[in-house]
Amino acid sequence: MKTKTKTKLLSYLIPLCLPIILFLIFTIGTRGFGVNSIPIIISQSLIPFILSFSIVIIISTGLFDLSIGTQMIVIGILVVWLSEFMGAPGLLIGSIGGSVMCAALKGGIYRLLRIPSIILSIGLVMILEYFGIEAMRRTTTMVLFVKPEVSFIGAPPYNYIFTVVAAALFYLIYNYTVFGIHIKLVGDNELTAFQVGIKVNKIKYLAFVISGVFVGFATILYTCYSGSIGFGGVGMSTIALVFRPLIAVMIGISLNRFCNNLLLNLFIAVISLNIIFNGLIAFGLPASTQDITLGVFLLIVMSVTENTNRLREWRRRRTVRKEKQKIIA
Amino acid sequence: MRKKGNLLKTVVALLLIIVSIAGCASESQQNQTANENEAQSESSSDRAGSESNGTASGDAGELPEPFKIACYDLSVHGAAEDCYRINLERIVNACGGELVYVPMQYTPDGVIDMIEQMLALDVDGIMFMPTTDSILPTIAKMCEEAQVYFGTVYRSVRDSEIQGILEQNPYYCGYTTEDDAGAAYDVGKYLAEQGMTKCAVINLEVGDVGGDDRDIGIKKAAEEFGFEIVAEARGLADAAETAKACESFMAAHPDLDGMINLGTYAMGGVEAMATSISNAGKEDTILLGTCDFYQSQQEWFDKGVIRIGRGGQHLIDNAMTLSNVVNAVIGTPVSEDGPTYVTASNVNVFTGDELREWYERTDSGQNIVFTDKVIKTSLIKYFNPEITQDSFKQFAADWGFDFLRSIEQ
Repeated sequence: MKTKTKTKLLSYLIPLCLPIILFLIFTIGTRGFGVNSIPIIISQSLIPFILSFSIVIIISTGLFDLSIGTQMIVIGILVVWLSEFMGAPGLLIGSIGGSVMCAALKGGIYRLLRIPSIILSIGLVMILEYFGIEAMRRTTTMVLFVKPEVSFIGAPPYNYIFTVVAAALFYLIYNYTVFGIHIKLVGDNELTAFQVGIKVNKIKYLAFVISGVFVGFATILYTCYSGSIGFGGVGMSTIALVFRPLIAVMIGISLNRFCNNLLLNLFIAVISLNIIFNGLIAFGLPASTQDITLGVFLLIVMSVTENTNRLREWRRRRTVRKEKQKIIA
Repeated sequence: MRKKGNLLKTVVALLLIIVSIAGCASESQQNQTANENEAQSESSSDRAGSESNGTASGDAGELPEPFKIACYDLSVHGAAEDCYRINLERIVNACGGELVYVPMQYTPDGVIDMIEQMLALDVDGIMFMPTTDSILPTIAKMCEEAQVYFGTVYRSVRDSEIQGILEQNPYYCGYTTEDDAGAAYDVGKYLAEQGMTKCAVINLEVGDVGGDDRDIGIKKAAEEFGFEIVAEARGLADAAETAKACESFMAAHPDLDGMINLGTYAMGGVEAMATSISNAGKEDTILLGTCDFYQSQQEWFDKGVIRIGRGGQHLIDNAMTLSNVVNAVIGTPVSEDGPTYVTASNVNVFTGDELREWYERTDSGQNIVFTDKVIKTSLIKYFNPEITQDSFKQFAADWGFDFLRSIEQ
């Protein structure tokens, strides 16, 4: 029992080392980075953290959705309009309701057209961007401002409350529901899932809908974060919004090899990325070097986690070989 | 199950119909607005035309042969951009030509694709914004083969070898740029004079010629006026990302007393910078300056958060290159001796009222900048043979409040 607890604790400690080591490196290495940076790092991590839930739900089902960021911006634009008439409740209801409706539509189109999800999502990015432009055309400035009496819901402590609620919801859905088990089964082997009686298409449709709920939560925070929402052009520029949460998901899934708690791993991944981002700014490095460092970090984490088993096997073989040599000697 | 499928198909079909109708409606609305503006500009141009008798050698009855020019389209549809389009179309229409748009691409190979699309439209001239120098020889070759005149906007050519290749090309008309390095230098200088000692900058991606020039300018100002650039962020995608960067700047450098936006494609980016400073309660300690004007920043001038804005070049940059290309296409090039390189003037604003006046005069659609009188006396040589390369350049150099105030509507 004791050993089990020890092993479990150790499995939690390994992923936790990642942000701690990064934090120490930047704290020692730079003057401006330290404990004072923690609130900023946490507050900057909330939106990508929530978006990562949405991406995980989709990826677990074996799908891919690049339109999440675009959806967040377009729904954000609409709910800022809505909040003009309905205030904060309009923003809340509009964000979650609008995102779920948009996601349901996405799922419906996917079910109907049966085309690869990545192609569908690229097409949807273009269509949603068009709607975003049409909505922004109603303004003269291409920027919409959120009234302070509304934007407070995206400020502390409410942003933390929303994040905790979204995280709890994700944790329950992903780990303790039949749907959570089904999406993993569908993602692992669609054919087997179908053969054991899982309605694959229905699960995929629901995955889109549930991911929409999390995009809705992220939309609330995104809309209120800078007090304004701007959207100027088409050309799939909004796809970039998915990249950082996507990197976090990749790292989070990789860390799952050490500690079987995806929620914690996603949080660790998002926090680590923001530590790097803030640390590099404190270092005063040029932006190009910041990008290189982030890329190198991703490669290191992925290669270490992906090759853990190979490393273990290599060490085992080496030990066996040494013992064999000892016996022969 | 089949019923559900049918229902879904019906819903999707209905949605597709709605999208198509919405698209058509917006297009027709756009055309209607353009027509209204056109009508408005026609009436003012008639007035301007009657005033310009005697200065122009051509008139409405003696237009050049019809021609077609292709122009990059930023796919941005704010009031300002729509106003620019109207003004640019006026220049081409005044000469009996047609202006067509092709969506702008921001990557080097994307720009080449865009040029191919332009040439496929069977045009006589093109204007575009090159993201880097390296693509220009390829484009020059494409234009020479297609016998299409071309000019560039916003960017100069920094590579002398490439400049030489372009000057050998009979279809190259030249470029219009603004003094990007000078603009950044001036913003840095002003803020340093106001007491800035440590600043963070936001800029475009490395390799973007305009952003790189501004980098040079701000570094020069830093050296000369003794302030330090302690942090930078580039290529920020949206307002939220810009706000995050500003928060990080302030957290990492508590003694930061300046922030400069050297360039961004993020809509609402400058407003996000101002909001972050304001939220941190550092309006009095962090001086914010910006290159380029953004449509809603006048309120932040009023609040005292933004101290200086330097910009206003978009309309003049595009109008000068377009006029340059039109002159070449209709057979009256600005100069017979080679390409014409124009440096347009930037404008400094320090208050919200100044910026409001600027928008009122250039971007609101209420005023026509390029009236028939202006086009026929200062821009198109066909109508006024006395236009020289120097007078053409001088027109761009005179761009500013005084010029705008002098236009008779």
